Amino acid sequence: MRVVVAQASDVGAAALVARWRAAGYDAGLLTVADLSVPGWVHDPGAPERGRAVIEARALPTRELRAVVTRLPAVVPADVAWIDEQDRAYAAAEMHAFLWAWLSALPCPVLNRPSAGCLAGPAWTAEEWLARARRLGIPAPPSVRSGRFGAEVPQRPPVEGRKAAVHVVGDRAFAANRSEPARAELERLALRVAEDARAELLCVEFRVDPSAGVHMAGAGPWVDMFDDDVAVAVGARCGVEEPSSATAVALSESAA
Amino acid sequence: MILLWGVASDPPLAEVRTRLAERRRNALLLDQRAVLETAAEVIFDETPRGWVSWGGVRLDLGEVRAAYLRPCDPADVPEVRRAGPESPEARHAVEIYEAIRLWAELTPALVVNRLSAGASNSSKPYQGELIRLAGFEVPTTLLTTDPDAAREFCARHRDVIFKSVSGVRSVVARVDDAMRERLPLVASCPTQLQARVPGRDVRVHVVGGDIFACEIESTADDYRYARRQGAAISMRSVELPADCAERSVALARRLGLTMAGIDLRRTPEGAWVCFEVNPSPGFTFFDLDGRIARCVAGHLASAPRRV
Repeated sequence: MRVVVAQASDVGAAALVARWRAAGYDAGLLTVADLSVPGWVHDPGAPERGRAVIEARALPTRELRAVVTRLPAVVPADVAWIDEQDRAYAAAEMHAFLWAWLSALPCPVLNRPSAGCLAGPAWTAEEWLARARRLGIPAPPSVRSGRFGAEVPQRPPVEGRKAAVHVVGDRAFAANRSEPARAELERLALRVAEDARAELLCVEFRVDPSAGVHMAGAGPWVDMFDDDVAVAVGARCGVEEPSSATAVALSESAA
Repeated sequence: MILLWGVASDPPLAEVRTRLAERRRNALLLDQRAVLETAAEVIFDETPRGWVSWGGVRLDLGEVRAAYLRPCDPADVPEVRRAGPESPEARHAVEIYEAIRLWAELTPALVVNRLSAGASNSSKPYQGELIRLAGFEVPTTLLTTDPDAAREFCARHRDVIFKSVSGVRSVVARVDDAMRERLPLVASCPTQLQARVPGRDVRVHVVGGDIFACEIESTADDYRYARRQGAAISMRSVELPADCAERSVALARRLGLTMAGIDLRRTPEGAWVCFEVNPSPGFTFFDLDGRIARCVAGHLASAPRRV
C-alpha cells in the first residue's frame, strides 16, 4: 500500500490517493483520526514488525511501500473527539508518535520529518534565505522587529515577479512552464532541495528583470494537481504511470 | 558580551549569571518578564545583526560572542498570559521571541543551546533511536493504540512503566493493577510503555567536553518527583567509566548540544541504559558543589570575541 499522511481536508492528498487507485495501486489516506483507532503497534527497535492504521483499517507495517507526508503537525484542533481539557496533550502525543514512526519506517518516506515539521524541513524564510546565501544563491535581507505599542513599520514592496519551482527528488518543475528564467530557477531549486535533503520541496523565487533572480522562501508542499509533479511523486513511490503529456504523445503515436 | 535569555528567577540562569559575575565577565540578562518593555530589530543578511533594548539597556547583537538560552514559551510570561492569547501583548511577545530565537539560530556566536538542537526531545521514541545509534542501550519500548498489544507487553515484561511520548512533562508511572484496568484507554491515543530497567540512576551533564555525573538513590519511580511523593532521595557525585563518558559527549555532540542533561541507569549487570537527553537541563538540582554552573560560565566566557 502507498500512503499519504494529511489532513482529511487536504484535496491535494486526496487527489494523489485517487490517482494511484485509478492506476491500479492500493493507496490510502492516513489522517489524525486514524491515531484514535485501535491497532497501532510500533516497536522502535523493530519498526518493520509493527502495525499501522490507515483509513481505520489495521495492516502490517511491512505492507507499506511508500509514504508521502503532507501533515506539518498535529494540533489540538485536529483532535476534536478528545475531551477538551486533554486535546493539547493528545495532539502533542500524536505528533511525537508520528515523528518517531515516520522517521523509523523502512520504506521511502517523502519527506522524513524534521525538527518542528512532520512533512520535512519547514524553516522560516530567514533560515531558508540564510541557506540560499551559503549556496551562493542571491537572497535579500529581511527584518524582524518588535516594539510594544508601536505601529508595524511598512516595508518596501518586494520587486520582481513571483516564480515557484516544485522539486521531486532529482526533478524540478517550474510552476509556470513558460517562465523565461525556467532553466535557471529549476537548477537553483534542485540545489536548495539537495542542500535541505528534501525530496519534495516548493522553492519560491522573485525574478526581477534588472536585479535578476533571488530566492524568496521554500516549503515542503508541492502541487499535487500539477500532472508532472504527481507523476514524479508516484515514480518515487514505485507507481508507474505516464504523465498526461506522455500519455497524449503515446496515444497520438499509436493513432 | 555574553547574553543570558530567559526568566531572571530561573535557577540555572541565575546561577550562571552569578558565576559569570564572579569571573567579572560582561553579561546581560534579557529577562522575559520584561518583554513588554523589550524592543528589538534584527536584520538577517550575511550574518544577523541588530539590537535589543530593555530597561534602559541597548544591546548591539553584533557584540554578543556567547549566549545561554533558557527561554520559556512567550505565552507563559505572566503579563502575557493575563492579557490573553489574542492580545497585542501576546503578539509582541511572540515577535520578540522569534526575533531572538532566529538570531540565535543564525548567529556565528557560541549559543548554549540553539533551540532547534533540542527539538528531538519533543519525541522520546525518536530521540531514543538517536540515543541507540550513539551506542547506548535503550529500554524495550512499545507504542500502541491496541489494548491487546498493551496487555501482552505488560504480561511479557511484568514490570512496566508508562511515560509520555512527547516532551510534555509527565510523571513516569509504574503500570500497576489499577492502570492495567485502564489499558483499553490506549485506543484513543498512542501510548508509550517501557519494560522497567532495574538499577541505579545516574544523571550526566555534558558541557562542551566536560562531564559531571551524579548518582541518585530514590524509592520513587521518578526521582524528579520524589520529594513531592514523600519518597527518599539522595545524590552524590560519581566518576563515569571512560567509555561511557566518551559516549555521553559524543551523544550530546551528535544532537548538536553544547550542554545536555543525560538520564542514564546502570543495571545490576553493568549495562548503561539511556532514557533521555534534556537539551535545556535544570542542572542546579544536581549541582551539589556548583561545578556545573562554573563550567557553563567558563565555557561561555571562553568563546572567542567576534571581529
